[in-house]
Amino acid sequence: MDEGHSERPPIEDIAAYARGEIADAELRARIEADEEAMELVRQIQTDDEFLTQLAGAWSNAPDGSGRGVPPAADLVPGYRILGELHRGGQGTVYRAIQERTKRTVAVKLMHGGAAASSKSRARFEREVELIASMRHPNIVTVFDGGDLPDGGYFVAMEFIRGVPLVRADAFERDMDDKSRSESIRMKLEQFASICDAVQYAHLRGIIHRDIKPGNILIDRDGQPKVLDFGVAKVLGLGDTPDATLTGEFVGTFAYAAPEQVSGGADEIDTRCDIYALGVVLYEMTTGCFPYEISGPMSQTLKNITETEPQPPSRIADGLDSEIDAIVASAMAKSPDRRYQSVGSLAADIRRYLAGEPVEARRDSSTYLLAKLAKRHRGPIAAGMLLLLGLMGVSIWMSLLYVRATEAEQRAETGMLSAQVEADKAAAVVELFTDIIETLRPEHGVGEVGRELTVREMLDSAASRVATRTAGRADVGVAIQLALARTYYSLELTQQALRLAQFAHEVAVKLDPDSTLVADAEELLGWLALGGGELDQAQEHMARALEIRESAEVVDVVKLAKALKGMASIARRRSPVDLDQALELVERALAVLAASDRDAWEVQVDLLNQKTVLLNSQGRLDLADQIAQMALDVCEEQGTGLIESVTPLQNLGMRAKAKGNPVEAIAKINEAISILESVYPEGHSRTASMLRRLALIHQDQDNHAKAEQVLDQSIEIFRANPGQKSREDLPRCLMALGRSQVELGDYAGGRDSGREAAQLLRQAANPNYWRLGLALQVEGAALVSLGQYAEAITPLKDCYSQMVKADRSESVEALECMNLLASAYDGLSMAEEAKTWRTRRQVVIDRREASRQAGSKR
Amino acid sequence: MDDRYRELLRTTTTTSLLEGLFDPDDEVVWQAFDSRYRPIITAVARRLGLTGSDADDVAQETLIQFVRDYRAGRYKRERGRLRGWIVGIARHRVIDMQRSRGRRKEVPAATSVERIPQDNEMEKIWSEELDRSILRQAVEELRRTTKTSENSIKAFEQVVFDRRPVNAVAEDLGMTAHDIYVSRSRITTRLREIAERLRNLYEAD
Repeated sequence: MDEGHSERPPIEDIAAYARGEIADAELRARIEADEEAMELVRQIQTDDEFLTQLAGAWSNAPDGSGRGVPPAADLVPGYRILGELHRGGQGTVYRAIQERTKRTVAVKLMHGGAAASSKSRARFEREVELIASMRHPNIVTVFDGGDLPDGGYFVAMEFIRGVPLVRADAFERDMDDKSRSESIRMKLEQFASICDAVQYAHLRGIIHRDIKPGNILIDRDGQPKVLDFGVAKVLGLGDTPDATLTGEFVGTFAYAAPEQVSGGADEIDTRCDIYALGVVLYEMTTGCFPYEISGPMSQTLKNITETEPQPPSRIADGLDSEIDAIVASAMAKSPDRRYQSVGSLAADIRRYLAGEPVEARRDSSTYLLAKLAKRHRGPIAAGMLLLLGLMGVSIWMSLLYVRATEAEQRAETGMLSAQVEADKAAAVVELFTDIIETLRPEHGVGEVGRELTVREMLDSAASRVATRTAGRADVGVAIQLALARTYYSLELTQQALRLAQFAHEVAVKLDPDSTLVADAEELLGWLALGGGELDQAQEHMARALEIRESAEVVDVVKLAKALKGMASIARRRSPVDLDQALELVERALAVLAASDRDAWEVQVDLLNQKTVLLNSQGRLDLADQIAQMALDVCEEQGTGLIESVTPLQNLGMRAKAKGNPVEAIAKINEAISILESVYPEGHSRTASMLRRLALIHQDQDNHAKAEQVLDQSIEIFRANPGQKSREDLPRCLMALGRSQVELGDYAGGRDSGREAAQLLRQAANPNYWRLGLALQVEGAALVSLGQYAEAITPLKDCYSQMVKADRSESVEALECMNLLASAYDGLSMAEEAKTWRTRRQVVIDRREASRQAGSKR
Repeated sequence: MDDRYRELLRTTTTTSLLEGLFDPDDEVVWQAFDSRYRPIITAVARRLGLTGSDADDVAQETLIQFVRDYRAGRYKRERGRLRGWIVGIARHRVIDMQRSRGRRKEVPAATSVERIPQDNEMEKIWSEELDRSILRQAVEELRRTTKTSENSIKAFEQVVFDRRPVNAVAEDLGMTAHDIYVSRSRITTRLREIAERLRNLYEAD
């Protein structure tokens, strides 16, 4: 190609000449001698002049960017791009108009590193969908996102007129004390709102991964708005801030948690966000970074992982040790020592603002335990934390009791209270030290390299607690009850019962009317109820209630719980005493309402009970109102809380019953997304909710979808045998069978129905009605398969179960008779077929007669 | 709506746009006028020392007040230059903002506007920002009216905007360096033409 002009210098040289960059005289002469080359030179020179101006057009205003390609106005389908707002490492943000709605939005264009494979695109889309589902006053709403023809990505979001959260300005140092404290209060309030936003996202399983002041805008009302949730993940930027990718490594590293800069990707969890929030809080209150970040990279990394920051109160005026404690807890180097949820960080900030003692300072005793666990790190750490989590709350509650009763005695005896407190705290720590020490392999509990199970730890603790607390029987009983409750929640009822009985015995000896006795009675009541021993349950629960009611200082929450226990027993009685159950629940609610204790969780629980009871009474509208009230109470506390799952479920299932599948699906889906964000993947509670979703799909004849959802929940139940699985797995199989038959998969339907029936037969108290339904699914599938002879047995069995369940005249029973007649037809056994048809007709006539009688009346 | 908006931006003089502005329901004219002047006002506000969102706010308020005044008949095209009028409003907005910031102590003194330039100086700033704005619009129009898949445009953008070496771009796109210089020249000429036409639309304001 260049052969033709072999004498002419190459174009690069001509261009260099045009720019005065050629020093070689011979080359210069050669170019000057070539007329065409000189023509090119002049051309390049004039072009350069114009292009310099052109490049300069982006150098100052209006967007302050100095580089890059301006995007075409129609680069993003559906949006018209106006001006640039901000240019950052991950991409550039533009003001744009969404064509469809004509609203002004901010569009972020990202030249991100995600690969264009369909898999990663699917992931990207899912991620964007998830992020776009977030609605929170402190989160910049994302509307839309997708990829661009040129290989980049875009995200369209709410356009906020605001300023980035800035550091405390220097001028604050000159403030007087009053305005300084006002300014700090305002910032802490803003910070708490920021935490709310992050917590909201965490509950949906979205980790921000890049929290920094640049991602927080303060709008004109002073409200913070957090943006770019999960964008780091969407971009596939990985979990370690990478200088080459973001181009803003200093900014990013400054907020990275120690485990982020040193650990592997699997270390990233919500606690990285908590750490970043800690740094932001540090900056907001002091105006400085917690450590030096401007030095060499290696030093910066070392500072993040090793340097303990100066307490904020030593740097800026107007701060105190409580703030120090909050910052220290949020920014703890070890994730385990941090606040474990953003919610608890926000709660501490609010406690501080309300002048209450902060949790961060209570760290010391639990921290001691955590440190102990750390010493035996490896095998036991994870399980230990779980154990502590399960028991911790109960133990503190019990100790509070001991404290309260002793306060009374102190008043009489004039004992030195501080000494008593110290003794007791020491006793507990000693006990735990002891228990944890015994978990070492050389004590025969664990084996090196093998993870201890919670069960083993519980067993070890349970076997030792009595002897190790010999000197303080009350502490021993409190801990035994806590262990028993933990066994109970793990469905280890035998162990729970043994411990509870033992604790009860000791507690009665100590003081037959004590709260500890009531605690034990209550637990024994629940255990008896679980075993179907209603009379015994009644006896225990009534005694618990009696003690709660007659206590000198009534604990309304515990009283309400005892009342709820009584109500649960009344509900299980046969015949069901709904009125009494409802009365008990009403009383519990009244007790709560009359006190100023904030026990909204208990209130919600009671409202849920009330909803179910009203539904059973057929007072549906009132039930709906109560369910909505329960949901409102939850949402007052925050969005996406686990407590709102049951009200959502109640409202969803009622919407289903009312023939409003759209609302039903919305409610149940919301419940599912909360469950998925709170519980680990594959939790049986999520599976139960999936089953409900499937039922709604079935109502809509969407059997393919129902089948898909049911497969998911069945898989979970199979992997988690337990109470819930025993209850729900057969129901799922039954529902699956029904959908399979509808979809023409008769063999699948037969197997599902058969397995459901088998499982139901194994149950301790067989539910005749459900068993009948399962058999019907099996029978219907067999008839459809033309296996008439095989169909007879399950169908006859089905009919007899329905008779046993006293529903021999139900629509389902009519269908069963119909199927039997069809099966006999298939076998050419006309006589039998006729018998069943006649029997069926009799029932139909009877139903018709009673219907008419009913309408006449 | 979209086509008309583009057409207005591409071919309609400011005078004609101003006439259309009397119709409060004609959103498209307003969008076109907005697109034509907002970037300049924002840029001028920045030159006066305002930062990001403050400059945005000034531009927003200035445009709204301009249209209000204009519809109320306070601005007569024949009596003075549009830029003078707009700059006048913008100056007041800047001063207002400075005052309110000062009261709220939100901005440390160093970054606030220290002094508002006199009229002739403002004219100069306006002209410079107008030039820049026209060039930006020219690029936008170029991109709108050509297929970005076209290799010569790709090459142009990579060389001019991304500052990539010509040889590397040539290799990537299967062109020769010579081709790239030729198309660079062709596109530059086109940009000049577009810019020239756009400049005429402003009619020296």
